[in-house]
Amino acid sequence: MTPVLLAQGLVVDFGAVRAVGGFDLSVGAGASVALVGRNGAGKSTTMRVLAGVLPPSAGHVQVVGIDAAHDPAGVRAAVGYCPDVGGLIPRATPWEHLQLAARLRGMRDWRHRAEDLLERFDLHNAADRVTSGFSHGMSRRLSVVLAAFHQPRLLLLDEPFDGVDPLGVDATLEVVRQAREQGAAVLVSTHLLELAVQACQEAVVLKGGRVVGAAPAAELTGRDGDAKYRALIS
Amino acid sequence: MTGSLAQLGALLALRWQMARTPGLRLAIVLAALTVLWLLHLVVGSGDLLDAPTLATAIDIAPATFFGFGVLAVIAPLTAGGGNEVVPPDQLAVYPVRPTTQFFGGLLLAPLNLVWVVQLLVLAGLTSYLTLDGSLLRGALTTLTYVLCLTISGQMLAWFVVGLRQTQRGRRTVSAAGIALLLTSIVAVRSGHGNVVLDRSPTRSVTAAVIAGGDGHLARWGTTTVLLLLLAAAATVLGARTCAWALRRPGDLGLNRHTDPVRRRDAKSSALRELVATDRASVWRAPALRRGGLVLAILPGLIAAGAAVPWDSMIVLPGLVAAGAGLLFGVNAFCLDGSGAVWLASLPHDPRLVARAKAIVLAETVLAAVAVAAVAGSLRSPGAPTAAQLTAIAASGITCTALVVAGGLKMSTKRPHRADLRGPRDAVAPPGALAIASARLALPAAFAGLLLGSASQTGAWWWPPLLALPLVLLAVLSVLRSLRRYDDPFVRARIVQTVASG
Repeated sequence: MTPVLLAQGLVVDFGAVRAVGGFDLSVGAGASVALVGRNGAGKSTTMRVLAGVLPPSAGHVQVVGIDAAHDPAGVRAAVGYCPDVGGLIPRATPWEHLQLAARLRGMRDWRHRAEDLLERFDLHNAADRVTSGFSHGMSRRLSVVLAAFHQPRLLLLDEPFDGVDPLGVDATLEVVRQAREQGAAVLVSTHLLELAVQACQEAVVLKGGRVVGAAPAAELTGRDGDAKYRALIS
Repeated sequence: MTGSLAQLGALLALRWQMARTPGLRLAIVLAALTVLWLLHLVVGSGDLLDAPTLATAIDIAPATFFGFGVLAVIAPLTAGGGNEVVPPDQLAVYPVRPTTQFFGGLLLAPLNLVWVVQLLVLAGLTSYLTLDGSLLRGALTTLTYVLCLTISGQMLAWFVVGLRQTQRGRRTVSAAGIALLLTSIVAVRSGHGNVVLDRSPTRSVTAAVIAGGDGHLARWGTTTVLLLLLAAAATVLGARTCAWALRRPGDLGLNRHTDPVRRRDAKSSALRELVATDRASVWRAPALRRGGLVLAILPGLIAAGAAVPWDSMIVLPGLVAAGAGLLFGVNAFCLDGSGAVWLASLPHDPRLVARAKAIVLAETVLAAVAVAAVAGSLRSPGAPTAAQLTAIAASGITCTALVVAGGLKMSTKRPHRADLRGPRDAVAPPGALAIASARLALPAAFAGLLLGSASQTGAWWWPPLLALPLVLLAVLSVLRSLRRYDDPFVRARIVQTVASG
C-alpha cells in the first residue's frame, strides 16, 4: 500500500549550512508521527520542504503517490500545513484567510466547516479582526484551523501547541484524532514531548537534519523515556 | 548624551554588519564618494556659467534656500520623525534612549534623494555667491543653515508624532496642516508668494554667504553664529521632544488591530481573491494609507494652488509615481508578512501571487498619479494644447509602468522583512529605500522630461509615440520579474525573507 508521505534522502542546504542532511520517512494512512529534536535539528525546515514551501537541494518527496518535483500543486492540494511561527497575513482576518484558502483550493460549501472550526478553536468572535492584533496563542490556533480546513490527506503541524491554552490544545488534539480517523497521515513537530505523546503513535528524533532514532511515542514518556530521548538528541 | 552616542555607534556598527556582502559595502562607500565627487563638481561649476545664468542663479538663491527648508521639514514629517537606524520592533527589548533615536534619524537624513539633490544645489549656489571671495566662509554658513533646518525639521516631526498620539492632537495637526496649505495656496494665488520670499529669513542667510565671500566678517559671523546657536538649541529641544513623543501614551494603536472589519463577499477567481487580500493589506497599514493619501492629494493641491503651467504638469506624474512606488512597491511581497509561508503551501500557480502584487501596485500608483494630475491641472492657466494633454496622459501611464517594473524587479531581487504595523514603519531599511528612490525617480523623471520635450513639437501624437517603447520596455521587465518569481528557489528566498527576516 502506498504511504501517504514518503520522503527519501531529503537534503536542504542554505549556502554552506546543511539544515537537513538525508531525511527519510514513510507515514501511512491513519498514522501520526511526532518529529522531535533540539533547536536547529532541522524539524521546521523539513516541514517546509514537505509542505512544498521550500524546494529540497536533493532527495524527493511523494505525497499520496504524487511526486512533489513533478506536481507541486498536486502535493499542496493534499497537504494542510501549520507553519512554526506566524503563518498569517498580518492585515487579513481569519475569515479572509479561510475565504482565500477555499478559493485557491477550489472548495465549495466551505462556510459551515469554517464556522465550525472557528467555533471549536474559540475564534468565532475574532473572525473579522485582522490577525496582527492576535495573541501568539490565537495565531497558533488559527494556523491549525487553516491547516485542517480542507481535511487534508497529510496534516503537517509545526509547533501547534506552542503558547496555546489547554482548551486550544484539546481542540488541536481532537483535530489530529479526526484526521487520523478519516485516513489522513499526521506529522507533528514539537518540543513538548508530553503533548507529542498524546497526539502521536510514533516519534522520530531528528539531529543534524537526520533521523537518529524512532520509537513508539509512549516509550518516550516517564523518566526512562526522557532519559532515552536525551541520549538520542545529545 | 555620551550614552546615546555610544548606543548610536553600536547600532550603526550593527547596521554595517548587516550589509553582508562585500559588493553591498562597496556600493555604500561608492555612493558616499559619488555624492562627494558631485559636490566637488557643482562647487567648481560657477566658472562654466555665463553671466546671465549666473545672475539668475544668484537671484533665485533665497527661494532655493527656502525650498530646502520646506523639504527639511516635510521629509521627516512623512517618515513620522525620521528614519530609523534599526527598526523599533527589533529593539523593543533593549533600553535604547530616545536621544539615540533622534540622533539616528538626524544621521540618516541624507539618505533621501531629494535632500541630497537640494544639498548639491545649495553647494552650487554657495560657490556662485562667493565666486570671487572665500568659499570656505560661505560654505560654513550654508552648512550651518543645512544643519539648523534639518535638525529643526526632525524636532517638528517628533512634535507632530507626539501630538498625533491622541484624537485631539490628530485633529489639531490635521487642522494646522489644512490651514497651512490653504494659506500657502491663497498667498501664491493672490500674488503674495514673492512678498513671502522677499521677507524670508533665507535672504539674510544668502546675504551672509555673500558677506562671508566678500570678507564682511561682522555680518557673516553674526548670521552664522546665530544659525549655529539655533542648531544647538534645536538639537537639545529635538531630543527632548523625541523623548516626550515616545513616552506619550497613544489612544489609537491598539484599537486599530482589535476592531472588526466588514466581511466582504468571496471573489470569483483566485487572482481576484489575492488582489482583494493585497488591497486590504495596503489600505489597513497605517503608514501606507497615510502615505498614499498624502501622495495623491498633496502634490495635486500644491500644483493647483500654484497654478502650475500645463508644460510643468507633464513632469508631475513622474514625481508622484516614484513616491507611490516607495510606499510598498519596492518590497511588494512584504504585504504577506509571515503569511507568505502559509500562502506558499496552498495549491495555486505561484505567478498569481506576483501578478496580484503587480496589479495592486499598478492601481495604487495610477490612482495617485490620476488624482494628482487632475487636481493639479484644475487651475493651470489657459487651455492645454492637444499635445500637452496627450503628454500628461502618456506621462501618467509611462511613469506608472516604469515604477511597477522597477518595484517588481526590486521586490523579487531584494526582499526585506517589514511589519508595517505602526504609522512610522517603512517597507525597507533607510539605505535600501534611498537606493530604491533613485532607481524609481530617475527613469520616471527621464520619461517626464522626454514627453515634455515631445509636447513642445505641438503634434499630439508625438508623446504617445515616444511613450510606447518605454511602456513596452516596462512590460518586458514586469514579465521578467514574473518569470524570476517562477523559480522555486527565488520564491523560497522571498518567502523566507518577508516571513521572518
